[in-house]
Amino acid sequence: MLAEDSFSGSAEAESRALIQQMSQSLGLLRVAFDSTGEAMLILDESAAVRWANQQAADLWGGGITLQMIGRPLSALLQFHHLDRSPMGDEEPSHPLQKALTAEGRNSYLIQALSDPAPEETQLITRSVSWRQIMQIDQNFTLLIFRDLDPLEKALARQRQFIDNLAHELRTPLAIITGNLHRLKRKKQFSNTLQQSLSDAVEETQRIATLVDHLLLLSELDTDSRRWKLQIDDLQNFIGQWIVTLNPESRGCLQVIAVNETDDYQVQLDQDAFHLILDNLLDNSRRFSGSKPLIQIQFVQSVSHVELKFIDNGPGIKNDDLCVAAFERFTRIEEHRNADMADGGGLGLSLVQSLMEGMGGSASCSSPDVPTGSARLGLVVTLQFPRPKSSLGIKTSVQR
Amino acid sequence: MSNSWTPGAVDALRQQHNLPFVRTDEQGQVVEFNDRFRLIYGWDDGLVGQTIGMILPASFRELHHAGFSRFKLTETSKLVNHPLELATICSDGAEIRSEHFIVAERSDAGGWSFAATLRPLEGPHAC
Repeated sequence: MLAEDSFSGSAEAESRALIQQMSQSLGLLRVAFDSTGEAMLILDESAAVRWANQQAADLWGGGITLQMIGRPLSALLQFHHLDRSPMGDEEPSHPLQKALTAEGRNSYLIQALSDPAPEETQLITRSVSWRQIMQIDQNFTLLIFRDLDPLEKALARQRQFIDNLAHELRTPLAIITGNLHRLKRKKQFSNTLQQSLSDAVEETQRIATLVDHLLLLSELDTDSRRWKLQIDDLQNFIGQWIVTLNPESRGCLQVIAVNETDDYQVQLDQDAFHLILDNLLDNSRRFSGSKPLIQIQFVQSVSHVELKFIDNGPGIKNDDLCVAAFERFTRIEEHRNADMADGGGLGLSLVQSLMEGMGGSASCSSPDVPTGSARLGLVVTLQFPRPKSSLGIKTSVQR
Repeated sequence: MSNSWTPGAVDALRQQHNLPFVRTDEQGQVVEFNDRFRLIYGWDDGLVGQTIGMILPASFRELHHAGFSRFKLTETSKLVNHPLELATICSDGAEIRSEHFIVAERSDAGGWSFAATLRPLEGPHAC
């Protein structure tokens, strides 16, 4: 009996020592997290605060971390786009929406809502990173807010410069195009001169498209694009795009739903979607020779809907080049051809940025043909997340 | 961060007989509470010796334990000496929104003592 008591006493002492050690570790961690310059929040699945550090409390919780617990993020702070417009909780560019698909980081303007007069509160710029913390029974999202470093500030200035430059170039380009068209209509010019004018018109048009793409990319990079998200069947969105095409382009297309009974509900911005398809079509037509054939296929899965845009062009021979094709101003060397009109070098980058802006993704591949080494045709796969709202209801969400 | 401790702060709270009062030792274990606390939140003497985390909602416990452990290292806290709207768990598991006013006091022997009044903000005893 005495031995048992002694054993139980020693076990209790060990437990106490272990608890004390853990308590000290917890205290040290708390001191460390509260000493960083970054504000940190851990949110539960309902976007309520589960954990906060002192910096976060100083910014959005009146200095008391404990009083932030259980409060919805949307009651503590409001994210704004870099153009100062408020960001909706369901917008694809909202950090919590982005965290659903992958970890990442972006710059946002943030307004504290705990202040007495939120409308007068200054917006602060923070680089916000997000990541999911997957637990067996529950998922959490970690948000880290930090001040922009000098490099990020320089990058923001550079993007603003590109934005301003593109705006400045638009008007003179429109004037040059107009004058070239007027000159082309003059009958007295020789064929050689007419050809030179046609070339000049084509090149000016290419520069104008490039400027438009640069502006759009700048908008996407700085997260200042206004998304107008709609929920509908992807096949309907495709149908609406096809009616905007000329008969020649329509003739190249074949739309195939893999299974007629499948559910292809997606949430997307129709203007962005048309831009994506316009760019893919333009790309395919340039590379597919005189008889372009394009198949559009749909594939559904639990979490997303895929659209495969398949052409009969030369494709891309290896996986590294498939990744490189989405980089800005990349041209695949083997595709350079004097007879082929050159693209702006931004088309696929734009496709990828627009897809990511809507919470989706874009990738490409060229499947092997059965005979072996050579590959034919490029397959661009667009992946759309499924809408969270109830399926089958056609709604329009304007933000 | 507040680091000035008022001598006699714990006793000053204890004298507020109209409010529920609870005190812990420096390990965060309950050492005493008053009749008002017993009446409103339903706890009996079995609470003595238990962690004060027992009367806090589960969602607050992480930050409570972390904050308590930090206090032992830094002897500073932003929670003390001003009212905090939190919640208190009753012995039957019910949760009552309440205003906590926490104080800390160092004893002559050097150990810390923590006490709080827990003013109920809802229910029949709301004041």
